[in-house]
Amino acid sequence: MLPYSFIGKWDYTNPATPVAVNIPMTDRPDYVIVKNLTNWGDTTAITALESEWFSSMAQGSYIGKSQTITTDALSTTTGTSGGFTFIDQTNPPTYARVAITAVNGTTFVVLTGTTTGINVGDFVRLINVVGAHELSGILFQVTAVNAGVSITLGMAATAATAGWTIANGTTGFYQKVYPNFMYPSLRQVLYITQATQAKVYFGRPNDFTPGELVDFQIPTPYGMTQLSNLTATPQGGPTGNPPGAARVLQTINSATESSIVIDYDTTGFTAFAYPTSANFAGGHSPAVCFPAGSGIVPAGASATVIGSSTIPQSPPGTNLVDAFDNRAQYVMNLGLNVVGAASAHMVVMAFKADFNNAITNA
Amino acid sequence: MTVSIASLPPQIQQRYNAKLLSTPEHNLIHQLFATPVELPDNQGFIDRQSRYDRLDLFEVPLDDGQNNPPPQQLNRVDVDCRVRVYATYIVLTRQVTITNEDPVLNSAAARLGQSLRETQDALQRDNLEATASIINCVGGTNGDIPTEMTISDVDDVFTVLQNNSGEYITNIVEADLRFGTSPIGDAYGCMLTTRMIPVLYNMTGFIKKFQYPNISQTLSVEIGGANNVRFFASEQGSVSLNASLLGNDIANCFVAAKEAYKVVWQAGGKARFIYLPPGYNNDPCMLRHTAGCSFYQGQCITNDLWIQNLRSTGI
Repeated sequence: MLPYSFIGKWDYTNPATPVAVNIPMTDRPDYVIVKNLTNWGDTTAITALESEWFSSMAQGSYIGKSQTITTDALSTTTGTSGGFTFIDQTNPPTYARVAITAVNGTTFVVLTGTTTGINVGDFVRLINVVGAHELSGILFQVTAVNAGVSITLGMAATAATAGWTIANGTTGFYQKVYPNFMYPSLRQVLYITQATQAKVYFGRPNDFTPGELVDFQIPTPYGMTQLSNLTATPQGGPTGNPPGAARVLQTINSATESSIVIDYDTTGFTAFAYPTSANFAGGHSPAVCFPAGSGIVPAGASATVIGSSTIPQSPPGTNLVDAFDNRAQYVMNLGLNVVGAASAHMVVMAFKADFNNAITNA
Repeated sequence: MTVSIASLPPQIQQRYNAKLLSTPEHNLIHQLFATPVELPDNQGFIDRQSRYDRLDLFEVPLDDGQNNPPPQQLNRVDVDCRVRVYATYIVLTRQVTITNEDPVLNSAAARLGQSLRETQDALQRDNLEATASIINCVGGTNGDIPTEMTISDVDDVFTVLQNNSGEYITNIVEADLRFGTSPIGDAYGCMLTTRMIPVLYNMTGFIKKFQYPNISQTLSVEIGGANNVRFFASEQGSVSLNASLLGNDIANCFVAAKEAYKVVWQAGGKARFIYLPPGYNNDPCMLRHTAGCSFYQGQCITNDLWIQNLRSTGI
């Protein structure tokens, strides 16, 4: 038996301002190494030229080498944060809540004195936001971080631009969260347009696909209750819409927008609007959108084009990508202290110990 | 040398009791109401089942001209479920198995079996957590959203499932002439965390299992019932940490009607124990045994109207 098995190799190129990188792995690693291929051997002063992590080391820690002067001399470094964080998505780490001082209900810039460990792409839950209690419990994706000052929830801001009305919040908390990994999964609805083909906005990327059927639970305080429980709707009902659950005609998951367009005419429906903070705190359920089945893939659907509500993809599109699935992975998060230099081509290699007989008292 | 208890050799002081202590095992509740489906081998890895939607009622009579009415369109919904493979194993050195008085491999097999079943259960739990529609408990008084569960919340979710034509899981437990007992209505099944037990026991109208008129049709994991919902609890029931309005933990209590969700097993990939003696896996000196287990499983909701996540705090 060899001491280590090779799990895999991955490449990435850092942007001008490096951000944390998540490396999905097929196995739990015992040894991970990251190397900067761009600056290896040149005469540039570079930090995190090479970084390593062993499974005996703490989460977030690292050891590494940097080029500290322009004569190629290497120096060793070590740290306990901003390094390697291993995440088993079925049993993710948990994080303490962090105080916030304000939430702008239009831009969704959340003011906080602490952004440690928060990166673009992370998911946060807002808790007990005074003045905007209706935001409490919703999961958002972070789209920008101003270190030590604020985080921005850009997808919420896009929903607000589309019509989602939320009061400004004051004090409260945010908490970093790893969401459930099952696919496709429920999303809390932020806003639904009144249109012949309604558009539904979410606070974090959705995993619905064109052709998929989705259903809604819209409690009375949110208006638009006509969208609730569509699966039970027979054809030719009072709305004139197709029978059953709504079909997704377009999915958008950009850096600042998460939305779907559905083949449902909501022009005659009650307008969708969140209850006020006080009303929500009085006791209500969230408005949610959830998977309801597999439908015919519409012709022409893309991130920029709404698919046809009447013409199927040709040859006929049988949607298999919306099959219920377990997409849990092992992920190694490379923090800012190991992710490498700006614009550098980085390579990651991971290994696992074949034999780790740590049975106790046997 | 003075002989005393302290100077006795360790082997004399100690006896190894061969009767092993029990290992805690979680209640398995999340597959209780799942429809089992077998995916035959060599027919792909995605199981598709279909449902034909209801047709409209046709209450308008034909006129005297006896013209044909407009036709209705038959609509079908497909539900796809992908099966995945799961496996784990233990490595034991030959040195361990030939020097240890305790039959370690036997224990390894037992623990692998437990891990396998608890994993199957947890996969279904995670599926329900990801896809079931949400209803917050709002009848309680703890000031949070959701509140702690009350009988009005139980009635709310019961009403939703009834409005959605969900069929009951269990039939009525009829009243009997026994002191301190109370009948249980036709019921849906609720799967929840054992952390909810104090909330349930404080709930007006909750009937503990020992207060049923007849407990012959109950499971050990059942806690009790309230109106038309019966509750089944597990240590690995679903909890969303800090997810309430005030940042408290939320119990996800899945209330299911019949045929609301399913579990798919591959015909050739059912739960299996795999033992390999020393000499396998590049082990030329025959130093290591391996004991492993594997299974194939997929899980999904089959009708989104018939499974509801009744969320409660107070745990």
